[in-house]
Amino acid sequence: MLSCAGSAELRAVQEVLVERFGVPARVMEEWMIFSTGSVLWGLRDAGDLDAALGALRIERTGLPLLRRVGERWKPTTVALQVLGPHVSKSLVELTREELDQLLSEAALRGTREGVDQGYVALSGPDGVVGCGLYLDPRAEEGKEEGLLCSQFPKARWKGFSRYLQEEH
Amino acid sequence: MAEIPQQIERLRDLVDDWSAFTEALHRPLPTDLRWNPFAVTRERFEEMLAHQGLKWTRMPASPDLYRVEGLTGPGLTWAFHMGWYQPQGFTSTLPPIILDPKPGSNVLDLCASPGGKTSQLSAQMMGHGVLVANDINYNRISILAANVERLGVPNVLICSYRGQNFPERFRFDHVLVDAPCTGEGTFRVEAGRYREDDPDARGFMSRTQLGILGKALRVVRPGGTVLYSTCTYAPEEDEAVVAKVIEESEVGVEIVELPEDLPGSPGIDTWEGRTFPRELSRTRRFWPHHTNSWGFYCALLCRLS
Repeated sequence: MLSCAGSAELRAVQEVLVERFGVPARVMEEWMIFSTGSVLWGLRDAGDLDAALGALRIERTGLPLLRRVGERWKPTTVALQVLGPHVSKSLVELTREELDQLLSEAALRGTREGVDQGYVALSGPDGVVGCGLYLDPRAEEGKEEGLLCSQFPKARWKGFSRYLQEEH
Repeated sequence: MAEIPQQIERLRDLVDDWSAFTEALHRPLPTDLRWNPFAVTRERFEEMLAHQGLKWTRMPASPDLYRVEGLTGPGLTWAFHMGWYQPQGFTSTLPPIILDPKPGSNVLDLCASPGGKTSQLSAQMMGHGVLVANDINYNRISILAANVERLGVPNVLICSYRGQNFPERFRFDHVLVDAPCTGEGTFRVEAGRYREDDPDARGFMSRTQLGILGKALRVVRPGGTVLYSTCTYAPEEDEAVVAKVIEESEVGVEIVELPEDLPGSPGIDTWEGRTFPRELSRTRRFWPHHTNSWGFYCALLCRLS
């Protein structure tokens, strides 16, 4: 059931997209946030939206921005792609070879300086391409090096792998 | 040459060059890709095509469309998955171009799935304004939603009403009715999409189209515009529907002249003994031998009161 996001859900958007990924608050102010429980949806700058919402039975709205995974909210691939030009934190820039390796092996070893543990935006030759999960050795007892795990939707892996092979 | 089906053959008197028309029906359709500005810059998109060794030409009447040679399976490429383009036939891009919504306007796409025209409308609106995409079929809503997400379209509200029953509590500036139809314009000999002529299907479709177009004229604001389009040549689903809706409409309606530089031919004024109002010549028939694309029909209506 689609509903306007409550204060806890708006706080999640603030914490994840603004504070963790550095998307400016003014950019997120252009988005109206809705909830279907496990997914937070964003609709951008929709003028007479309130009147439309009052008059119509809406099945889906805008783009999925955050998806609940256990106790956490995870940014979606499309959210990071659309907001990519505004992402300034938790950004991991990868070379073509690193992205290729991440896709084929699902994880990359190595400590990333200046990146905190948690979800990160993966940036390739054409900007932000999706989401990763970074496990920082400073937060993982007994670990000596970090680990970057792909969070790409499996259905998109094959297509993206071809992008790396054919385009660069 | 393989046989042309009866429902196409009966159009002989409407076509300016029958030989060129039937020859076009024997050619495979070209691959047309509409650049998606939400995902990539035009420069990077063109660079990608060039890097893939693909030759392309731009279509003057549809500035974001690229006719690409040598690309098979456009729905299987990485660039498709990244949302860089939408495979969309040239004539299929014309209804949104003719409707021409501006950023900030309120727009309804009444028969929206699979969402190619919806995403094109959003691009024209630069992602700003209310864009409602409606489709009666709940399964097709999933396809629509998947395309909206893949293309990163940021301002779409999705509804699932029967078109004829769409609520009238909110008024739109523009409504697109890309109506369900018998699809004669998609016929190509080699594609084997032959369908037996079925006058009952045309009758059923025209009744459905009348209901949907009539509703569109009630949900658009006075001064707003409705674009009616089909991908069929059948006059029963094209000029006859527009003429009947105008005749029966409770609101004042005017047929708007279309841009002169569009390909195709004017709407017809007679068919099988029926005469349509002269204003129907302001509507447009798009033929495959003029466009090397799907057959299409477009009428732009303005609600006056």
